[in-house]
Amino acid sequence: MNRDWKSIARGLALGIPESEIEKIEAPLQDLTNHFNSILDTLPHETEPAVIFRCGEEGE
Amino acid sequence: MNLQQAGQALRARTVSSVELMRHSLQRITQVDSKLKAFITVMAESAEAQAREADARFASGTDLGPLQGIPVAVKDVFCTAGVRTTCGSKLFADYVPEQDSAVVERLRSAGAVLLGKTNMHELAYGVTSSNPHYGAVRNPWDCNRVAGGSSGGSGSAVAAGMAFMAMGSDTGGSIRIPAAFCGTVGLKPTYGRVSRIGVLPLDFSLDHMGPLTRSVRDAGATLNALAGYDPRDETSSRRPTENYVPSEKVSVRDLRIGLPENFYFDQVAPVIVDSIHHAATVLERSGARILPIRLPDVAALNTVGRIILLCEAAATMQRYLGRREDFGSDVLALLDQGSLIPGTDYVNAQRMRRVLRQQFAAIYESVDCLLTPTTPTTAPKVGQALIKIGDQEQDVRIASTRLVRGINVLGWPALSVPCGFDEQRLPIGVQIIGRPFAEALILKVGALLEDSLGIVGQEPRL
Repeated sequence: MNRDWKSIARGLALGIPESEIEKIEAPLQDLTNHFNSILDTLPHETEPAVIFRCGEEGE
Repeated sequence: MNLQQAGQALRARTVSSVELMRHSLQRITQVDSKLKAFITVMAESAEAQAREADARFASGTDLGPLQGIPVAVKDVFCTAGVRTTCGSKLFADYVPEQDSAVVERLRSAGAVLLGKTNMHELAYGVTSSNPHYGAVRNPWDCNRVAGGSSGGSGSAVAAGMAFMAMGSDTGGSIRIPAAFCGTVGLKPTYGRVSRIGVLPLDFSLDHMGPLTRSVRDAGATLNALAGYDPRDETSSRRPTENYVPSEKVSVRDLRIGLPENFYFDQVAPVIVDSIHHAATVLERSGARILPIRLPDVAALNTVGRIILLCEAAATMQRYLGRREDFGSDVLALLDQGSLIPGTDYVNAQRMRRVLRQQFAAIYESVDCLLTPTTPTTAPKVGQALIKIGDQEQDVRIASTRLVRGINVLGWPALSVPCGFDEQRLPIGVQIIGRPFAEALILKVGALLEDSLGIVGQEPRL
Protein backbone atom coordinates (compact mmCIF):
# COMPACT_ATOMS: atom_id res chain seq x y z
CA MET A 1 0.00 0.00 0.00
CA ASN A 2 1.37 3.39 -0.98
CA ARG A 3 1.98 5.99 1.70
CA ASP A 4 0.56 9.48 1.29
CA TRP A 5 3.85 11.36 1.56
CA LYS A 6 2.25 14.78 1.17
CA SER A 7 -0.06 14.13 4.12
CA ILE A 8 2.86 12.84 6.21
CA ALA A 9 4.85 15.99 5.43
CA ARG A 10 1.87 18.21 6.29
CA GLY A 11 1.14 16.27 9.49
CA LEU A 12 4.74 16.60 10.65
CA ALA A 13 4.83 20.29 9.64
CA LEU A 14 8.09 19.70 7.78
CA GLY A 15 7.70 22.71 5.52
CA ILE A 16 8.58 20.74 2.39
CA PRO A 17 6.87 22.29 -0.66
CA GLU A 18 4.45 19.88 -2.36
CA SER A 19 6.33 20.32 -5.65
CA GLU A 20 9.45 18.96 -3.94
CA ILE A 21 7.56 16.00 -2.50
CA GLU A 22 6.30 15.14 -5.98
CA LYS A 23 9.94 14.73 -7.09
CA ILE A 24 10.84 12.32 -4.30
CA GLU A 25 7.68 10.30 -3.69
CA ALA A 26 8.31 7.72 -6.43
CA PRO A 27 11.84 6.71 -5.33
CA LEU A 28 10.75 6.84 -1.70
CA GLN A 29 7.80 4.57 -2.38
CA ASP A 30 10.00 2.12 -4.33
CA LEU A 31 12.45 1.99 -1.43
CA THR A 32 9.66 1.53 1.11
CA ASN A 33 8.04 -1.24 -0.93
CA HIS A 34 11.29 -3.18 -1.18
CA PHE A 35 11.99 -2.62 2.51
CA ASN A 36 8.55 -3.90 3.50
CA SER A 37 9.06 -7.04 1.42
CA ILE A 38 12.30 -7.74 3.29
CA LEU A 39 10.65 -7.23 6.67
CA ASP A 40 8.50 -10.32 6.13
CA THR A 41 11.59 -12.36 7.06
CA LEU A 42 12.41 -10.44 10.26
CA PRO A 43 12.14 -12.68 13.33
CA HIS A 44 9.93 -11.12 16.02
CA GLU A 45 12.52 -11.24 18.81
CA THR A 46 15.32 -9.53 16.83
CA GLU A 47 16.85 -6.52 18.58
CA PRO A 48 18.29 -3.52 16.69
CA ALA A 49 21.96 -3.53 15.70
CA VAL A 50 22.38 -0.24 17.59
CA ILE A 51 21.85 -0.83 21.29
CA PHE A 52 22.12 1.56 24.22
CA ARG A 53 24.97 0.61 26.52
CA CYS A 54 25.00 1.76 30.12
CA GLY A 55 28.67 2.43 30.80
CA GLU A 56 31.74 0.45 29.91
CA GLU A 57 30.50 -2.87 31.30
CA GLY A 58 28.46 -3.42 28.18
CA GLU A 59 31.38 -2.98 25.79
CA MET B 1 56.56 9.08 -6.33
CA ASN B 2 54.37 7.57 -3.60
CA LEU B 3 54.35 8.06 0.18
CA GLN B 4 56.78 5.27 0.95
CA GLN B 5 59.19 6.35 -1.79
CA ALA B 6 59.04 9.93 -0.49
CA GLY B 7 59.79 8.60 3.00
CA GLN B 8 62.84 6.75 1.70
CA ALA B 9 64.05 9.89 -0.09
CA LEU B 10 63.60 11.94 3.10
CA ARG B 11 65.61 9.42 5.12
CA ALA B 12 68.32 9.25 2.44
CA ARG B 13 68.41 13.08 2.59
CA THR B 14 67.99 13.32 -1.19
CA VAL B 15 64.98 15.56 -0.58
CA SER B 16 63.73 17.62 2.37
CA SER B 17 60.23 17.86 3.73
CA VAL B 18 60.19 21.56 2.84
CA GLU B 19 61.01 20.67 -0.77
CA LEU B 20 58.27 18.02 -0.89
CA MET B 21 55.80 20.44 0.65
CA ARG B 22 56.68 23.26 -1.77
CA HIS B 23 56.41 20.86 -4.70
CA SER B 24 52.91 19.88 -3.51
CA LEU B 25 51.89 23.52 -3.13
CA GLN B 26 53.27 24.28 -6.58
CA ARG B 27 51.27 21.39 -8.00
CA ILE B 28 48.13 22.73 -6.30
CA THR B 29 48.80 26.15 -7.86
CA GLN B 30 49.30 24.53 -11.28
CA VAL B 31 46.27 22.26 -11.46
CA ASP B 32 43.73 23.00 -8.75
CA SER B 33 42.02 25.88 -10.52
CA LYS B 34 40.94 23.17 -12.96
CA LEU B 35 40.35 20.27 -10.54
CA LYS B 36 38.80 22.10 -7.55
CA ALA B 37 40.17 19.45 -5.20
CA PHE B 38 40.85 21.82 -2.29
CA ILE B 39 38.54 24.05 -0.28
CA THR B 40 41.29 25.41 1.97
CA VAL B 41 45.05 25.36 1.42
CA MET B 42 47.15 25.77 4.59
CA ALA B 43 50.41 26.97 3.04
CA GLU B 44 51.79 28.83 6.07
CA SER B 45 51.27 26.13 8.67
CA ALA B 46 52.43 23.48 6.19
CA GLU B 47 55.73 25.34 5.76
CA ALA B 48 56.20 25.41 9.56
CA GLN B 49 55.34 21.72 9.90
CA ALA B 50 57.74 20.78 7.11
CA ARG B 51 60.54 22.75 8.80
CA GLU B 52 59.79 20.92 12.06
CA ALA B 53 59.95 17.59 10.22
CA ASP B 54 63.30 18.47 8.67
CA ALA B 55 64.60 19.48 12.11
CA ARG B 56 63.50 16.11 13.47
CA PHE B 57 65.28 14.26 10.68
CA ALA B 58 68.41 16.32 11.36
CA SER B 59 68.30 15.50 15.07
CA GLY B 60 67.74 11.79 14.43
CA THR B 61 64.14 11.76 15.64
CA ASP B 62 61.83 9.64 13.47
CA LEU B 63 58.10 9.49 14.17
CA GLY B 64 57.53 6.95 11.40
CA PRO B 65 56.59 6.71 7.72
CA LEU B 66 54.39 9.83 7.67
CA GLN B 67 57.05 12.16 9.09
CA GLY B 68 57.59 15.05 6.70
CA ILE B 69 55.02 13.78 4.16
CA PRO B 70 52.56 16.34 2.69
CA VAL B 71 49.01 15.07 3.19
CA ALA B 72 45.48 16.46 3.03
CA VAL B 73 42.21 15.73 4.81
CA LYS B 74 38.65 15.91 3.55
CA ASP B 75 36.94 19.03 4.85
CA VAL B 76 34.83 16.93 7.17
CA PHE B 77 37.72 16.45 9.66
CA CYS B 78 37.88 19.21 12.25
CA THR B 79 41.11 21.21 12.31
CA ALA B 80 41.82 23.52 15.26
CA GLY B 81 41.76 27.14 14.11
CA VAL B 82 41.09 26.24 10.47
CA ARG B 83 37.57 26.34 9.05
CA THR B 84 35.86 23.03 8.45
CA THR B 85 33.01 23.43 6.00
CA CYS B 86 31.84 19.86 5.41
CA GLY B 87 31.36 21.11 1.86
CA SER B 88 28.32 23.01 3.07
CA LYS B 89 27.21 26.63 3.13
CA LEU B 90 25.92 25.96 6.66
CA PHE B 91 29.47 25.55 7.97
CA ALA B 92 31.21 28.04 5.69
CA ASP B 93 32.51 29.97 8.70
CA TYR B 94 32.83 27.15 11.21
CA VAL B 95 36.26 27.17 12.85
CA PRO B 96 36.69 24.30 15.31
CA GLU B 97 38.67 24.72 18.50
CA GLN B 98 40.05 21.19 18.43
CA ASP B 99 41.49 18.79 15.92
CA SER B 100 39.65 15.62 15.04
CA ALA B 101 41.23 12.41 16.37
CA VAL B 102 42.47 11.58 12.85
CA VAL B 103 44.20 14.96 12.50
CA GLU B 104 45.69 14.57 15.98
CA ARG B 105 47.16 11.23 14.96
CA LEU B 106 48.47 12.55 11.65
CA ARG B 107 50.17 15.43 13.48
CA SER B 108 51.62 13.01 16.07
CA ALA B 109 53.03 10.96 13.20
CA GLY B 110 54.78 14.08 11.86
CA ALA B 111 52.70 14.50 8.69
CA VAL B 112 52.56 17.90 7.00
CA LEU B 113 48.97 19.04 6.57
CA LEU B 114 48.58 20.83 3.23
CA GLY B 115 44.89 21.60 3.44
CA LYS B 116 41.27 20.51 3.39
CA THR B 117 39.85 18.78 0.36
CA ASN B 118 36.60 19.46 -1.47
CA MET B 119 33.80 16.95 -1.24
CA HIS B 120 30.17 16.27 -2.01
CA GLU B 121 28.09 18.64 0.10
CA LEU B 122 27.76 17.21 3.64
CA ALA B 123 29.44 13.99 2.39
CA TYR B 124 26.01 13.07 1.03
CA GLY B 125 26.52 12.07 -2.60
CA VAL B 126 28.80 10.42 -5.12
CA THR B 127 29.82 13.15 -7.58
CA SER B 128 31.50 15.86 -5.46
CA SER B 129 29.87 18.38 -7.80
CA ASN B 130 29.64 20.82 -4.96
CA PRO B 131 27.28 23.80 -5.51
CA HIS B 132 29.15 25.97 -2.99
CA TYR B 133 32.87 25.12 -3.54
CA GLY B 134 32.93 23.96 -7.15
CA ALA B 135 32.66 20.64 -8.95
CA VAL B 136 35.69 18.43 -8.29
CA ARG B 137 37.11 17.16 -11.58
CA ASN B 138 38.69 13.82 -12.39
CA PRO B 139 42.40 14.18 -13.30
CA TRP B 140 42.06 11.41 -15.92
CA ASP B 141 39.40 13.41 -17.78
CA CYS B 142 38.41 16.83 -16.49
CA ASN B 143 34.94 16.48 -18.02
CA ARG B 144 34.25 13.64 -15.60
CA VAL B 145 33.49 13.51 -11.89
CA ALA B 146 36.08 12.43 -9.35
CA GLY B 147 33.44 10.42 -7.48
CA GLY B 148 32.34 11.11 -3.98
CA SER B 149 31.86 12.03 -1.46
CA SER B 150 35.64 12.18 -0.89
CA GLY B 151 36.19 13.39 -4.46
CA GLY B 152 38.68 16.13 -3.60
CA SER B 153 40.85 13.59 -1.80
CA GLY B 154 40.80 11.23 -4.78
CA SER B 155 41.55 14.01 -7.23
CA ALA B 156 44.34 15.48 -5.06
CA VAL B 157 46.12 12.13 -4.68
CA ALA B 158 45.71 11.10 -8.33
CA ALA B 159 46.95 14.48 -9.59
CA GLY B 160 50.04 14.46 -7.38
CA MET B 161 48.96 17.29 -5.08
CA ALA B 162 49.17 15.17 -1.89
CA PHE B 163 50.78 11.82 -1.09
CA MET B 164 47.78 10.79 0.98
CA ALA B 165 44.39 12.33 1.59
CA MET B 166 41.89 11.24 4.20
CA GLY B 167 38.33 10.45 3.27
CA SER B 168 35.16 9.33 5.00
CA ASP B 169 32.92 6.53 3.75
CA THR B 170 29.24 6.19 4.67
CA GLY B 171 28.08 4.34 1.58
CA GLY B 172 31.20 4.06 -0.57
CA SER B 173 32.63 7.58 -0.27
CA ILE B 174 36.27 6.46 -0.07
CA ARG B 175 36.09 3.54 -2.50
CA ILE B 176 34.07 5.26 -5.26
CA PRO B 177 36.50 8.20 -5.75
CA ALA B 178 39.42 5.78 -5.41
CA ALA B 179 38.00 3.68 -8.26
CA PHE B 180 37.11 6.67 -10.45
CA CYS B 181 40.45 8.47 -9.89
CA GLY B 182 42.74 5.42 -10.06
CA THR B 183 43.94 5.58 -6.45
CA VAL B 184 43.90 3.09 -3.61
CA GLY B 185 41.08 3.64 -1.09
CA LEU B 186 40.76 1.86 2.25
CA LYS B 187 37.62 1.78 4.36
CA PRO B 188 38.68 0.15 7.62
CA THR B 189 36.39 -1.84 9.92
CA TYR B 190 33.79 0.23 11.83
CA GLY B 191 35.49 1.12 15.12
CA ARG B 192 39.08 0.72 13.87
CA VAL B 193 39.64 4.48 13.28
CA SER B 194 38.17 7.06 15.66
CA ARG B 195 35.23 9.16 14.44
CA ILE B 196 35.82 11.89 17.04
CA GLY B 197 35.90 15.37 15.54
CA VAL B 198 34.43 14.33 12.20
CA LEU B 199 31.23 16.17 11.29
CA PRO B 200 28.79 13.25 11.21
CA LEU B 201 26.50 12.23 8.40
CA ASP B 202 25.41 8.84 9.72
CA PHE B 203 26.50 7.74 13.16
CA SER B 204 26.27 4.02 12.52
CA LEU B 205 27.61 3.99 8.94
CA ASP B 206 30.46 6.57 8.91
CA HIS B 207 33.99 5.18 8.49
CA MET B 208 37.31 7.05 8.13
CA GLY B 209 40.20 5.98 5.92
CA PRO B 210 42.94 7.01 3.49
CA LEU B 211 43.19 7.44 -0.28
CA THR B 212 46.74 6.82 -1.46
CA ARG B 213 48.94 6.10 -4.48
CA SER B 214 49.82 2.59 -3.32
CA VAL B 215 48.45 -0.19 -1.14
CA ARG B 216 51.46 -0.08 1.15
CA ASP B 217 50.90 3.68 1.60
CA ALA B 218 47.37 2.88 2.80
CA GLY B 219 48.79 0.33 5.24
CA ALA B 220 51.36 2.81 6.55
CA THR B 221 48.62 5.40 7.07
CA LEU B 222 46.41 2.91 8.89
CA ASN B 223 49.34 2.09 11.17
CA ALA B 224 49.28 5.75 12.25
CA LEU B 225 45.48 6.02 12.56
CA ALA B 226 44.27 2.73 14.02
CA GLY B 227 43.69 2.22 17.71
CA TYR B 228 41.30 2.60 20.59
CA ASP B 229 39.96 6.07 21.36
CA PRO B 230 38.09 6.25 24.69
CA ARG B 231 36.21 9.37 23.47
CA ASP B 232 34.51 7.35 20.72
CA GLU B 233 31.98 4.86 22.14
CA THR B 234 32.18 2.77 18.99
CA SER B 235 35.98 2.59 19.02
CA SER B 236 37.36 -0.93 19.22
CA ARG B 237 39.73 -2.10 21.96
CA ARG B 238 41.01 -4.85 19.67
CA PRO B 239 44.83 -4.61 19.37
CA THR B 240 46.21 -3.16 16.16
CA GLU B 241 48.80 -4.91 13.98
CA ASN B 242 51.29 -3.94 11.29
CA TYR B 243 49.14 -3.19 8.25
CA VAL B 244 51.95 -2.67 5.72
CA PRO B 245 52.27 -5.73 3.48
CA SER B 246 55.77 -7.17 3.20
CA GLU B 247 57.84 -6.53 0.09
CA LYS B 248 57.11 -9.99 -1.28
CA VAL B 249 53.61 -10.99 -0.29
CA SER B 250 52.16 -14.46 -0.61
CA VAL B 251 48.50 -15.29 -1.13
CA ARG B 252 49.15 -19.04 -1.39
CA ASP B 253 46.10 -21.10 -0.34
CA LEU B 254 44.09 -17.98 0.51
CA ARG B 255 40.42 -18.63 -0.25
CA ILE B 256 39.13 -15.74 -2.32
CA GLY B 257 35.40 -15.69 -3.04
CA LEU B 258 34.18 -14.49 -6.43
CA PRO B 259 30.44 -13.78 -6.03
CA GLU B 260 28.09 -15.68 -8.33
CA ASN B 261 25.19 -13.35 -7.63
CA PHE B 262 24.63 -9.57 -7.59
CA TYR B 263 28.18 -8.21 -7.88
CA PHE B 264 28.58 -8.91 -11.60
CA ASP B 265 24.99 -8.06 -12.59
CA GLN B 266 24.54 -4.79 -14.51
CA VAL B 267 28.28 -4.13 -14.59
CA ALA B 268 30.10 -2.79 -17.67
CA PRO B 269 31.73 -5.72 -19.55
CA VAL B 270 35.18 -4.09 -19.48
CA ILE B 271 34.97 -3.96 -15.68
CA VAL B 272 33.83 -7.59 -15.43
CA ASP B 273 36.82 -8.57 -17.59
CA SER B 274 39.22 -6.57 -15.40
CA ILE B 275 38.01 -8.20 -12.19
CA HIS B 276 38.20 -11.67 -13.73
CA HIS B 277 41.75 -10.87 -14.87
CA ALA B 278 42.62 -9.83 -11.30
CA ALA B 279 41.19 -13.13 -10.07
CA THR B 280 43.32 -15.03 -12.58
CA VAL B 281 46.43 -13.18 -11.38
CA LEU B 282 45.65 -14.14 -7.80
CA GLU B 283 45.00 -17.74 -8.79
CA ARG B 284 48.32 -17.94 -10.64
CA SER B 285 49.95 -16.71 -7.43
CA GLY B 286 48.56 -19.64 -5.47
CA ALA B 287 45.25 -18.29 -4.17
CA ARG B 288 42.13 -20.42 -4.49
CA ILE B 289 39.39 -18.56 -6.37
CA LEU B 290 36.07 -19.94 -5.17
CA PRO B 291 32.66 -19.12 -6.62
CA ILE B 292 30.36 -18.11 -3.79
CA ARG B 293 26.66 -17.40 -3.55
CA LEU B 294 26.04 -14.47 -1.20
CA PRO B 295 22.96 -13.70 0.92
CA ASP B 296 20.60 -10.94 -0.30
CA VAL B 297 22.87 -7.96 -1.17
CA ALA B 298 19.92 -5.95 -2.52
CA ALA B 299 18.26 -6.26 0.90
CA LEU B 300 21.48 -5.12 2.55
CA ASN B 301 21.54 -2.05 0.29
CA THR B 302 17.91 -1.22 1.02
CA VAL B 303 18.47 -1.51 4.77
CA GLY B 304 21.52 0.72 4.35
CA ARG B 305 19.54 3.35 2.46
CA ILE B 306 16.80 3.48 5.11
CA ILE B 307 19.39 3.87 7.89
CA LEU B 308 21.32 6.49 5.90
CA LEU B 309 18.26 8.56 5.04
CA CYS B 310 16.98 8.56 8.63
CA GLU B 311 20.27 9.17 10.44
CA ALA B 312 21.30 11.94 8.03
CA ALA B 313 17.93 13.67 8.35
CA ALA B 314 18.12 13.42 12.15
CA THR B 315 21.67 14.81 12.16
CA MET B 316 20.73 17.76 9.97
CA GLN B 317 17.21 18.36 11.30
CA ARG B 318 18.07 21.63 13.08
CA TYR B 319 19.26 23.13 9.78
CA LEU B 320 16.39 22.00 7.56
CA GLY B 321 14.54 25.32 7.90
CA ARG B 322 17.38 26.91 5.86
CA ARG B 323 16.35 25.17 2.64
CA GLU B 324 18.07 27.73 0.42
CA ASP B 325 21.44 26.81 1.98
CA PHE B 326 21.37 23.24 0.62
CA GLY B 327 22.06 21.91 -2.85
CA SER B 328 18.94 20.42 -4.44
CA ASP B 329 20.19 16.80 -4.50
CA VAL B 330 21.17 16.79 -0.83
CA LEU B 331 17.96 18.52 0.21
CA ALA B 332 15.93 15.89 -1.65
CA LEU B 333 17.67 13.13 0.32
CA LEU B 334 17.20 14.94 3.62
CA ASP B 335 13.50 15.42 2.82
CA GLN B 336 13.18 11.70 2.11
CA GLY B 337 14.78 10.88 5.45
CA SER B 338 12.42 13.25 7.27
CA LEU B 339 9.42 11.43 5.83
CA ILE B 340 10.40 7.88 6.77
CA PRO B 341 8.70 6.77 9.99
CA GLY B 342 10.74 5.88 13.08
CA THR B 343 9.39 2.33 12.96
CA ASP B 344 11.14 1.82 9.61
CA TYR B 345 14.43 3.03 11.09
CA VAL B 346 14.20 0.68 14.07
CA ASN B 347 13.23 -2.23 11.83
CA ALA B 348 16.13 -1.44 9.49
CA GLN B 349 18.51 -1.66 12.45
CA ARG B 350 16.87 -4.96 13.46
CA MET B 351 17.17 -6.29 9.91
CA ARG B 352 20.80 -5.18 9.92
CA ARG B 353 21.47 -7.63 12.77
CA VAL B 354 19.83 -10.50 10.86
CA LEU B 355 21.77 -9.72 7.68
CA ARG B 356 25.04 -9.39 9.59
CA GLN B 357 24.59 -12.94 10.89
CA GLN B 358 23.75 -14.27 7.42
CA PHE B 359 26.70 -12.58 5.77
CA ALA B 360 29.18 -13.56 8.52
CA ALA B 361 28.59 -17.21 7.58
CA ILE B 362 30.40 -16.74 4.25
CA TYR B 363 33.73 -16.69 6.08
CA GLU B 364 33.34 -20.40 6.80
CA SER B 365 34.19 -20.98 3.14
CA VAL B 366 36.27 -17.94 2.05
CA ASP B 367 38.82 -15.53 3.56
CA CYS B 368 37.81 -12.50 1.50
CA LEU B 369 35.72 -11.44 -1.50
CA LEU B 370 36.81 -9.99 -4.82
CA THR B 371 34.28 -7.72 -6.59
CA PRO B 372 34.15 -4.64 -8.80
CA THR B 373 34.14 -1.38 -6.80
CA THR B 374 31.78 0.39 -9.20
CA PRO B 375 29.72 -0.93 -12.14
CA THR B 376 31.02 1.81 -14.48
CA THR B 377 33.99 4.12 -14.76
CA ALA B 378 33.61 7.83 -13.92
CA PRO B 379 30.49 9.50 -15.38
CA LYS B 380 30.57 12.98 -16.87
CA VAL B 381 30.06 16.05 -14.69
CA GLY B 382 26.33 16.78 -14.59
CA GLN B 383 25.35 13.33 -15.87
CA ALA B 384 22.29 12.06 -13.95
CA LEU B 385 21.78 8.73 -15.74
CA ILE B 386 24.33 6.18 -16.85
CA LYS B 387 23.86 3.42 -19.39
CA ILE B 388 24.97 -0.10 -18.49
CA GLY B 389 24.17 -2.54 -21.29
CA ASP B 390 20.73 -1.56 -22.48
CA GLN B 391 19.61 -0.14 -19.13
CA GLU B 392 19.80 3.46 -17.95
CA GLN B 393 20.39 3.88 -14.22
CA ASP B 394 20.54 6.75 -11.75
CA VAL B 395 24.24 7.59 -11.29
CA ARG B 396 23.98 7.72 -7.49
CA ILE B 397 22.18 4.39 -7.15
CA ALA B 398 24.47 2.67 -9.66
CA SER B 399 27.71 4.02 -8.17
CA THR B 400 26.86 2.93 -4.64
CA ARG B 401 25.32 -0.44 -5.51
CA LEU B 402 28.47 -2.53 -5.00
CA VAL B 403 29.86 -0.65 -1.99
CA ARG B 404 26.97 0.51 0.20
CA GLY B 405 26.14 -2.84 1.81
CA ILE B 406 29.64 -3.20 3.25
CA ASN B 407 29.04 -0.11 5.42
CA VAL B 408 25.92 -1.78 6.83
CA LEU B 409 28.09 -4.76 7.81
CA GLY B 410 30.96 -2.55 9.04
CA TRP B 411 33.49 -4.80 7.28
CA PRO B 412 36.82 -3.51 5.93
CA ALA B 413 37.08 -3.01 2.17
CA LEU B 414 39.83 -1.87 -0.15
CA SER B 415 39.63 -0.49 -3.69
CA VAL B 416 42.73 -1.00 -5.84
CA PRO B 417 43.23 0.12 -9.45
CA CYS B 418 43.12 -2.93 -11.73
CA GLY B 419 42.79 -1.61 -15.27
CA PHE B 420 41.45 1.03 -17.62
CA ASP B 421 38.44 1.16 -19.92
CA GLU B 422 38.47 2.04 -23.62
CA GLN B 423 38.63 5.76 -22.77
CA ARG B 424 41.54 5.22 -20.40
CA LEU B 425 39.46 5.80 -17.30
CA PRO B 426 40.55 3.81 -14.23
CA ILE B 427 38.76 0.68 -12.98
CA GLY B 428 38.82 -0.41 -9.34
CA VAL B 429 38.68 -3.89 -7.84
CA GLN B 430 37.17 -4.19 -4.36
CA ILE B 431 38.59 -6.60 -1.79
CA ILE B 432 36.26 -7.18 1.15
CA GLY B 433 37.29 -8.87 4.39
CA ARG B 434 35.88 -10.06 7.69
CA PRO B 435 35.88 -7.56 10.59
CA PHE B 436 39.41 -6.35 11.45
CA ALA B 437 41.02 -8.27 8.56
CA GLU B 438 42.62 -5.10 7.17
CA ALA B 439 46.06 -6.73 7.01
CA LEU B 440 44.68 -9.58 4.89
CA ILE B 441 42.87 -7.40 2.34
CA LEU B 442 45.89 -5.11 2.09
CA LYS B 443 48.04 -8.18 1.39
CA VAL B 444 45.74 -9.24 -1.46
CA GLY B 445 45.73 -5.66 -2.76
CA ALA B 446 49.52 -5.49 -2.61
CA LEU B 447 49.83 -8.65 -4.68
CA LEU B 448 47.54 -7.19 -7.32
CA GLU B 449 49.46 -3.92 -7.22
CA ASP B 450 52.78 -5.72 -7.66
CA SER B 451 51.47 -7.99 -10.43
CA LEU B 452 49.23 -5.73 -12.50
CA GLY B 453 51.49 -2.70 -12.79
CA ILE B 454 48.50 -0.35 -12.79
CA VAL B 455 49.14 1.48 -9.52
CA GLY B 456 51.56 4.33 -10.00
CA GLN B 457 50.40 5.25 -13.50
CA GLU B 458 49.65 8.95 -13.54
CA PRO B 459 47.10 11.03 -15.43
CA ARG B 460 48.30 13.61 -17.95
CA LEU B 461 46.90 16.96 -16.99
